[in-house]
Amino acid sequence: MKSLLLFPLFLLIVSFAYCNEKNIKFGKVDKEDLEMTVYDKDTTAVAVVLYEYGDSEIEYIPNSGWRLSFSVHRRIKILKKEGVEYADFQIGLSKDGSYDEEVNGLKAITFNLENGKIEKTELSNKDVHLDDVNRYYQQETFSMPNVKVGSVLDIKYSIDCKAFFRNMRPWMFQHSIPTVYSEYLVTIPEYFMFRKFTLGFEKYASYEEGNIPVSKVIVSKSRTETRGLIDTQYDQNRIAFNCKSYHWVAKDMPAFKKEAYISTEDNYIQQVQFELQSVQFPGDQPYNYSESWESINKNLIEDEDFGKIAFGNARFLEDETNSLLAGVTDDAEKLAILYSHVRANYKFTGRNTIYSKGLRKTVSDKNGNVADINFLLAAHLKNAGFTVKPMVLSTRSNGMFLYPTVTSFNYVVLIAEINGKSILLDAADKDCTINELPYECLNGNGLIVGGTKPEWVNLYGLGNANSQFVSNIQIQEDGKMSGAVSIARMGYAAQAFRTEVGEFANTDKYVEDFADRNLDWDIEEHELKGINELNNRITQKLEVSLNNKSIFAGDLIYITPLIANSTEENPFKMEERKYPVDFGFKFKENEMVIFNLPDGYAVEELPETFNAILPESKATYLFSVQKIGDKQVQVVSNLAINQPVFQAEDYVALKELFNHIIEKQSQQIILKKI
Amino acid sequence: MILKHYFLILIFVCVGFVLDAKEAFYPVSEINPLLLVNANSVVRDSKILLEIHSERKVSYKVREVITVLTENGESEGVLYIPYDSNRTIDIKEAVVYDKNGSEIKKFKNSEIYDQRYFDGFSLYSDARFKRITPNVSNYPYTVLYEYTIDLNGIIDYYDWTPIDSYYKSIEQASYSIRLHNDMKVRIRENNIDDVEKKDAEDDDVQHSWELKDQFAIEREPYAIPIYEHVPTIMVAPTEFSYFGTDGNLSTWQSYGQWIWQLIEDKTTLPDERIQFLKELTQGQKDDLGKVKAIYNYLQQETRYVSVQLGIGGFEPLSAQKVDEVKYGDCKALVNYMRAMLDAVGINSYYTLINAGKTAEKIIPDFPSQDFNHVILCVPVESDTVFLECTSQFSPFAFLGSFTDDRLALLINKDKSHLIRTPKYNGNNNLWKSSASVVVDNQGNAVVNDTVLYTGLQYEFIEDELRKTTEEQIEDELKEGGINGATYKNISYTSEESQLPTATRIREIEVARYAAKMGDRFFMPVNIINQSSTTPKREKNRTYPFRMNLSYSDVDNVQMQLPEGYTIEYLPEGATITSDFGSFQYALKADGNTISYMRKNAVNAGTYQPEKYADFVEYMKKIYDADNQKIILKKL
Repeated sequence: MKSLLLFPLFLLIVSFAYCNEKNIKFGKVDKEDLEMTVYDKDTTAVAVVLYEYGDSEIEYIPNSGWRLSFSVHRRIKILKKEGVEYADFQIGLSKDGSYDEEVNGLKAITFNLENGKIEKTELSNKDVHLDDVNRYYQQETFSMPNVKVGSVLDIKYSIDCKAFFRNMRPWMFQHSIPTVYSEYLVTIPEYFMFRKFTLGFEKYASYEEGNIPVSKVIVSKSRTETRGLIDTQYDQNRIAFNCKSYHWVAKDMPAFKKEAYISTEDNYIQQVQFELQSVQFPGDQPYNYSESWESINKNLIEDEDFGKIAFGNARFLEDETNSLLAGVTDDAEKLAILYSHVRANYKFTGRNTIYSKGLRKTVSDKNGNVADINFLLAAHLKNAGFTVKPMVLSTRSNGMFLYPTVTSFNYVVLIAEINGKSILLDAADKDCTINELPYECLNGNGLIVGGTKPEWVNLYGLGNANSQFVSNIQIQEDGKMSGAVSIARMGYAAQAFRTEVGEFANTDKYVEDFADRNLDWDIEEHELKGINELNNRITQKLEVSLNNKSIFAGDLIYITPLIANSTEENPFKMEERKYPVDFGFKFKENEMVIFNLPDGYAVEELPETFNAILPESKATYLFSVQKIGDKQVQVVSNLAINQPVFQAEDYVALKELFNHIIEKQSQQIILKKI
Repeated sequence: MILKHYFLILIFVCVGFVLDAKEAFYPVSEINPLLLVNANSVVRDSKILLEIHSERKVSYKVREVITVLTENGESEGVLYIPYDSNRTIDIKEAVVYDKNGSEIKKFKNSEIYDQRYFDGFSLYSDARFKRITPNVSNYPYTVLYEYTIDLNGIIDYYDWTPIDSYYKSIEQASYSIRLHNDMKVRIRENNIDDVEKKDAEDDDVQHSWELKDQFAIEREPYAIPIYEHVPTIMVAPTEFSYFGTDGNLSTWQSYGQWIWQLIEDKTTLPDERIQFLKELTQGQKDDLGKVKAIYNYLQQETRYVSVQLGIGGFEPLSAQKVDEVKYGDCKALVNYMRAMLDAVGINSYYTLINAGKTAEKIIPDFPSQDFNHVILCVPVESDTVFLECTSQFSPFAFLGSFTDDRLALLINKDKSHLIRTPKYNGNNNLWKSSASVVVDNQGNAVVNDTVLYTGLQYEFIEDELRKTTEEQIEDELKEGGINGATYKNISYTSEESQLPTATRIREIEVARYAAKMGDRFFMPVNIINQSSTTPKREKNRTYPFRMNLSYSDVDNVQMQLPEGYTIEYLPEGATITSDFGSFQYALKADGNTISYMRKNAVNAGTYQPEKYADFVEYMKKIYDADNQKIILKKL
């Protein structure tokens, strides 16, 4: 006889001490709220969330087991015509065929003030639509009836998340409209271990954690099997357990407004999230989801769709690896060959995930997601004798992670050892090269999987962009100018340029287009190199005649000092800033121009040298114009942004720096007829 | 012996078959090199057969072989079929071949992606799509798709447009129509010089076209829409059945009748609403006043929500329902407005239109369902007004570039007919600015300007009218605006008049308006209204180009110079005239002030390709004129 299953079942009727702090009842709206015409704290608001209360809870439902439920009550005031769109609702629901999430108890009322009387219009069930978006996702949509400026909407529903415990929804205390009051309560029996994390730049009015002792009658069921006969026994016990509660109240949350140079909005909006870590019932083994970076590392190593592929057997590819590397002895060359092979022959489907469909399937499909492609490269590299490990990360648009959760990761790259150095590889994104990650990956830290303990790589400090513009220009006696311009782009500047050129069918088309759209230049020659090469340096060499860079007036010629890379617009115009400025990488933009003066002319006046250094050399700018003998003028403009992220405190200085750059660059070189 | 021979023959036959099956499938090497020029993809063979059995049984049988040459042509290799509850899609074959024509992959039914279609504005609709993405890394590759679309009735046949996008060449494409049971269709052929009409294959095939060896078309700037110059076969029904209702599209009048029966019984309003509307309009002396009052009520009380249900999106919600929920799509809101006008005794007409700035034109002598929007036409004593009913903000009787100057179908029982919506001319679409710029001896300036926007130029700023000062400043800063600007004030006001009109007033402090260097200042001539882009040059312009908007700008700026400076350089000014418009600017110094005048009139129109170089030159001259500098020097 062997025991097959042991289910401890809990009958649980918990009535919590909490009720919402504001004591707002659904369907009872204050006249004041209806009379309100403007939200004093933000007069631009088109609508405002007057009140919202959310509740996530795991409870036991007889005959169906443990369930996660989420309920919400939200009250919204419409202040302007543009705000009526906040009366349209979409609720996303997971489905997996047998267990679909369900919306229950949807009630929604529009309140209007008509001649001093409160008028109610209820949402009718037949105006609620539920439909499948795709195989895994459903959507319930409805529009509130009778909505106009002045309306107050009251909406209440709950979602039965069934046993999708991992679907505890993030709660946003902040929206694109201001929120007067937002309260969130989470209640979790001690058998479920979650980890919470919070994000945002605002403060909570209150936050409490608590323990609620619960004493319950439990029915436990045990099943035994003897030679195919199943015997079920029920036992009743009374046990005591604790529920852990988390309770936030946020007041007067401002509307979330996007700023330039931020990663994804989700990194900035005030919110809390819960991640399921493990489930353990008394007398039972814990079932771990994830709990620490150590276990994530370990679990990923053992994962069928991750470690088993990344570290698994790749002998079926050995012949291919060997034939690709036949006769090659140099390690760097071997690595380049394998990297190029995978990049050229396997199509990236554009899907970001850390889980692979398997090497054989990838090889036969000739395409795959980022994990498929990079694991295939890992296999070839291992066959060739390299030490290689996968590194998981969260892309910029996927947001940051603060706590150990495997679901935070959506991208996987490789870290390989070569000649005692570690280099990073991504064969999915075709615009980057060896030891360079796509710009999207420059977010937080990357976790290297496969060691005995987790190892981290800081992705922010990783790369930089470097552009150099060098020109040698002859000025003619009539003020016309022509000469040679050479441009070199390295690092992320090269990557971005590669993406730009990639929009064209080929580089010739790019060169043609460059000439066509650049009306200030007549281009006689244009040589573009390095686009398709692995070395990370793209160069352009041009012979040009310049239109409109000089003013010819009587005895004087005025000349704009920069030729190829002048800054004409300040990227920062707002007076202040709330969030950090996130460039993603450090960068340098250097330009040098040599002007050869026409016969019979001499320098009348030159712009003064300007040198700006932000505190701690976070950014520097040097602008200098010097005479070289009597026949030449040399212009130098060097901008260095020395850190990828600037805190909001540095904003004003950064903005001012760019104002100076623009001013200096609009000053002129003045020549005079002798 | 005989047996042996049989055996041999059998082997030969078998080998023959095997060879046949293994034969390269449309290898890339067989493509005429001329078809590769500028091409991202090549249609190797496209065969479309439209079979019409009855009004309620229509099918398309499609077989397409397409070679994708470059990554930019990838979308041409993706199979994407939108459908709804009226259509069944059956994908019979989806195979990918490499450049040599060897099979790489065959898609199974379970690998076809199926999802709800989000149009970006509909809250709910039954539209879905199926999609197959080949995801092949090595270019070129070739795809084969074979599928059928079965329709339980049709109102709008697909157009046959084999060259439907740029950078796509055609080896061979054909289209046939097979009509059973004496079914009738109407056909319109556009730009078919290169199209060969073929003979009937069998008795049922009435029509057949074939297009061969068409070079890829390169996208050109300021291009006219591609559908205006590529071969197109349009098919429209006579008798039709759609979602169970029967109609006839042979004339605009008969089509109007079908629309009419979908809306005729939908104008009932509750008695209290009728009473309310009568009271609302009581004080108005004429119909125009009444229409305005009710339109205002519509804009206050209802909102646009797109719910595309009912007879494939043709049947509006009843006025009663809209009165209850206070929302609807264009059909429902127009119908509701019509019902409300009806309640006070004013006749109005539900009017179908094809909306959008560059929408395809309705062909007067070829009735077809090419409409995507509904507006309301109201004849009043003095004039006929058109009402856009989905916007809560649209000025009364202003259509804007969304629905102006085009043919529309006015629905009136058995008297439906085409009408033309109003056109806004260059002298209707105005920008008039006057500004004062006071520059101090550090080069900082105080700028005060007033701009009047009229007609279609009003559209550029209409959103600003409803914003707070704080947001208006934010928008100016975000949209480029002026470097170093600090806004002291900004305001927008609008006036009621024949054409929508608005005024913007600003007071701005501009740090470093003039760049100081030693004894000199470098000062822009014009920061109020600068042309910021120039068109691309085109060595070989092939197709005509078009400017869509006629407008006229006039600017007057008074600049006050800092004390103690003299003008070292003042740009000469210029007058430039062309077919595309006229431009003029002039500067005049008078003691300590400079006055600047700029006039720019743009003529919308379609211009022949040989004029393009002139156009680029003209635009570049304007650009240069706007980017001139004034140079001041200390006395």
